[in-house]
Amino acid sequence: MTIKSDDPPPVPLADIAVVFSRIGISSFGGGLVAWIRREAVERNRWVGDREFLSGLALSQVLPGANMTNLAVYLGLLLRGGLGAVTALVALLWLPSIFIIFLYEIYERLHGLGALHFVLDGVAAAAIALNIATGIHAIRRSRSAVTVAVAGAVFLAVGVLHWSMLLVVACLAPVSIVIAWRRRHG
Amino acid sequence: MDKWGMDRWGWDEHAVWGLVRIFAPLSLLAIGGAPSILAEMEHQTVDVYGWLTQRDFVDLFAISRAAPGPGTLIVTLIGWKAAGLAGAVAASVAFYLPTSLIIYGVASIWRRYRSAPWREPVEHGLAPIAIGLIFAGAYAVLQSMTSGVLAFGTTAVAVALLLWKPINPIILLSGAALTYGTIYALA
Repeated sequence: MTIKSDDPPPVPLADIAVVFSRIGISSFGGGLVAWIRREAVERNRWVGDREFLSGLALSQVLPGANMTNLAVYLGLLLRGGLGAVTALVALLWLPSIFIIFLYEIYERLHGLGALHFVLDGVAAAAIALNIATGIHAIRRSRSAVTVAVAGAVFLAVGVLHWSMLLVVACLAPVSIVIAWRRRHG
Repeated sequence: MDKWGMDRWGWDEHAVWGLVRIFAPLSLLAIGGAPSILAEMEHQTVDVYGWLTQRDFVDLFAISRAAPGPGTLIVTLIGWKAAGLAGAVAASVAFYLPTSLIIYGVASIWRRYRSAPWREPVEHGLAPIAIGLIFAGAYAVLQSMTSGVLAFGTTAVAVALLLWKPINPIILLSGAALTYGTIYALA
């Protein structure tokens, strides 16, 4: 990692608006984690991987829609309050209009039939985007601790349906202490 | 009023405030995103307010998951169905505003301590938590899919492709749509 400056060159608000609008309208079937990471980390290099993932963790743990939380977090990081508002509104406006159109079509067709089925396929592929993002993140970390902690969280929350808050409240401190000890010997 | 008996451009004060009263508190209970509040959302909008039938709710859920954007857009759609444009705006603002303020507050503190010595280990420690939650979320959605084994197969193939080489997501999603469309036409 390079040295972090306190005030990195500001990202133009227009860029934030364009990028989050693009994410909003591209992300058919979900998979937003993958889309946002692709734009914020890979294509525009606004944030590093760790900063992205820690923001994602906060977004997931705090109440509300995870992906709008992440948009607010990234917007704030890049351009303060205006950036946060821009990212949030940009992410939502196109899909909101789109979904209302989709609903009106659905009302007139009286059901979804083939469309319903096809959209299920799109959603299945969109989930794959998120899973691949998770696997890539594990590979990059090259650490057994990451695998163990991520695996435990998945098992407890995803499979056993334990309370997410409780699981995170127990495992996050453990994970942070491990990271701290590795760094400070 | 159109033939569905719904005024999309009017102002139904009762419905608009009802939407705000439902969605502002619900958003604060949405820990881990929309899945955690879907049951209560259904109860309020179907049983308590009667804006939708149960069948409507299932369909709106399907539409919101397939459309682009966050899955929580079902909130906007329920607002639209209950009270037209005013309802869509009211439901969205009620749902997104309070929790945006919370993450805004937390992220501001987070940003202020950007160079604090504990920042790096905390970031390191939180990363695997986020990864685990990504998998948990993916698993929950997969289980809710109506196409069952086919969905698992599609996801597995798509993951394999993505790990093999970087594929443009749009191409991947179009491929899945084409595959499903073909299967539907043949079956």
